[in-house]
Amino acid sequence: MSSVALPAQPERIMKELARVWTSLAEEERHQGGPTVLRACAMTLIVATDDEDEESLAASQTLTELMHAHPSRAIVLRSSDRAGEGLSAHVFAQCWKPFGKAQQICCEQIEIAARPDQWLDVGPTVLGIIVPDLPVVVWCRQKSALRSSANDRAQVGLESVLSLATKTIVDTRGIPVPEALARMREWKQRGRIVGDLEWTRLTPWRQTIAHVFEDFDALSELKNIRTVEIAYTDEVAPASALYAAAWLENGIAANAALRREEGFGPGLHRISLKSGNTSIELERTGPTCIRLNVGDKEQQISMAGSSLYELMHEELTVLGPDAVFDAAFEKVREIRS
Amino acid sequence: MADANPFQDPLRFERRVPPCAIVIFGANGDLTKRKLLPALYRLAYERRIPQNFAMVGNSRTPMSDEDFRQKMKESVQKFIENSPFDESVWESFEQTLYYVAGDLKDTRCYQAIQKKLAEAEQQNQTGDNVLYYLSTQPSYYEIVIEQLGKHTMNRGKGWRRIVIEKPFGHDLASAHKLNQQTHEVFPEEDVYRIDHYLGKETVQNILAFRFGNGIFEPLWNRRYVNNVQITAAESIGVEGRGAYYQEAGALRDMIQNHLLQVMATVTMEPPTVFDATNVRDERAKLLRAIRVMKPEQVPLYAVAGQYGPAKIGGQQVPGFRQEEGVDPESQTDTYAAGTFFVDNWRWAGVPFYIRSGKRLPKRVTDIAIQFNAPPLAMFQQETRMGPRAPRPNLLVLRIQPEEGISLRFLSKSPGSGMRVRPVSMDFNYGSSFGERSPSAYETLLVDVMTGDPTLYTRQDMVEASWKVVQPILDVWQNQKFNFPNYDAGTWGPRESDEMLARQGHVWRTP
Repeated sequence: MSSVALPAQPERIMKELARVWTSLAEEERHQGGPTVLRACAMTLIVATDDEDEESLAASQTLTELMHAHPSRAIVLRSSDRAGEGLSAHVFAQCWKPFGKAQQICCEQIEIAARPDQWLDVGPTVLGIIVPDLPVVVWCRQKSALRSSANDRAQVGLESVLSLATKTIVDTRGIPVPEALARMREWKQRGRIVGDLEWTRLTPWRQTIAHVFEDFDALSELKNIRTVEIAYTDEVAPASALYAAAWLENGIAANAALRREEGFGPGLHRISLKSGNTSIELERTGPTCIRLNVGDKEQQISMAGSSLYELMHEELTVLGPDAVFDAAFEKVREIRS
Repeated sequence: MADANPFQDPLRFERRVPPCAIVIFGANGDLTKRKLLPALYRLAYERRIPQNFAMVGNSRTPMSDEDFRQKMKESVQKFIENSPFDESVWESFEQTLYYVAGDLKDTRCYQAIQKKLAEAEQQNQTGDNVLYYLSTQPSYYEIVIEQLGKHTMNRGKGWRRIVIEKPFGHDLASAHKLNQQTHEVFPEEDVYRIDHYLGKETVQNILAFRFGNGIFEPLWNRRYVNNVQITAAESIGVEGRGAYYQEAGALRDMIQNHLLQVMATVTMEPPTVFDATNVRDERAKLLRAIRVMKPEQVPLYAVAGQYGPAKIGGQQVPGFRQEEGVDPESQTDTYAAGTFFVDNWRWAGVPFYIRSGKRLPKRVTDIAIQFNAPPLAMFQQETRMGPRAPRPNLLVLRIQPEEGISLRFLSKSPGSGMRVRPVSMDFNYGSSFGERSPSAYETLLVDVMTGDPTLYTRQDMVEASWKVVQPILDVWQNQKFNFPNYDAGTWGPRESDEMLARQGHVWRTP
């Protein structure tokens, strides 16, 4: 269900939301069905650039996420084509779980703003977030992770970020030093920041952690002298740096990073070697990693690496993440 | 003490299975095919099964390892729910599956299993940890346990645990005997009696709801609660299990185990610490506090029923006595209901109504907690029969199929005048956590392999719940019922409504 463009004033938006709910309930009652169920566990703000592909990926992922993380979604679209004054559209995203009669609905508010209007976005968002529930900002604007950002758009975005319980970014495809510097700034201000490049490591990290749950493997840990991390990108992506940092936090050896041909983008291989044994994980397909421990081999599912799955994982960790924070700090040592 | 694994990340990694081997007795049976293997495969898919794992299946049917793997693959593909089947993950996983054909009464069968376990240990380094899973007919439990003891398969360098599927005996005496025989071979801490209801996410959520929130627990007692109704209804009949069901009946099959455990979860005292011992102690304490009926009270507080033929949705469905494998004169209860009281300070005087049946109007399991009406009825509710005192608050914990919690309370109807009507505030488990919930067997298998018995039933809990139902069984056994006494597709026999009416209550319609 969609509505006409409204002036993006909190009272107008909230009034329109109330109208949407009433009309949904009336519609259902008219059809003799059970009334709709409003589900909301957080405010999820998506700050995105107005590029068709980018916009589509964000919208599709948001729709999928609503099922697992029902939210009041606020999509902030930065667009040179936006009109004079901020405008908003209000929707309800509804679905019927398979075999169920009752519709479940979430709210979505879309606000388009020209870069010069971003200073006005913060106060609007402040008036429409759901009280008493977490606020997550999924920041998909690449410019947000660049240090040049001191213009009005950035200042406006900052005011939105300051509302967040957690900010989620994706440093893939962005110059790593700049992106990490920006994230460090945010973290120094006490904000909780997640990076999907770290989330992409979960299947790799989980597999390595499992290997070392075996007593013999754990006792061999102190003998590991060689750690190699291979990636397929032109320059080392943040995921490779994070992997190196995470491993160095657990092993007394320095990780060597290298570029290799293979499945990508991102991480392709992790090897750990001691005098007695070797542990190697290698990506063998889009959804598969091969694990070799000595001469034993196992195929491991990489399920969990779609944009939806990455976001889903990040949204389940809304508080501080000590393991990521430790790896993030360590990256600085590796880079220097 | 060994160093801790520095790579663990409990915030993001699910618990995983430690190095071990599982021996499944009855590996060609329905439970293995429909539940156990799909659950194990799903754990492998989620990267929770290590390389150091093996599963040895046993049944009488001669099969090679390869044939067994093929058969299990077909079962997993057919029965896995809400999960993709990944060929490459299966290829790795199936290498951990082995098979031994043999008769459970034959000692050679156990020697062959020992040999296969040694082979699996050699190939997979399972740490000599072994879990035995009894998925056979209950009549084999004692034989298998005894043979495991005779072949010293209950001891080793690593741990040995045993999972026993319900029914844990068919009455108090047989349950007690089974426990004694089991303890001759396995100490209680290595015995895991599985009640898959306790592994359901929504049953576990009852504990989170009660003990994680401060606002409900103060109301959770006789001062505010008027009565509690626990319903486990199935719309289907016995579906080819007539012969088994005829021996069990609804009281044994559902109430003695699942529903009394659910009742204990709803009513137990808060444990001081959330660990296996404390949680199970509180459950056991509650089960012991349920008042045991005297024989003369049984007709007043318990009702048996059996469905007869009827037309449902234009289709003729058979009565229980017309089902395949069922005695045409069967006296088996396909419906059982009881009024139970808990003799402790918190619940004294509050009736707990429990009912379970087959061929009821819908499949639903829920717990409805009805609160007392306000002391002064200030408002009237408009009904078809004219104005009535409004219905009191109702809190419903839905276990299946639409897992969730709803609270019914009164609200003013829009418009002039002070008319009130009940409205429902719903929490839907599916819509708040739309992600896939692990199946009860996934949860319970990881629990037993990691040595967490919180959701498993202890000897004293089993015997306490048998003590509660035994007088009912004894009276019913010596009684000739005029069955069938309810039509398929209805909410059970009239006597069940009368049982509640005697306490001034009515069954709610779930």
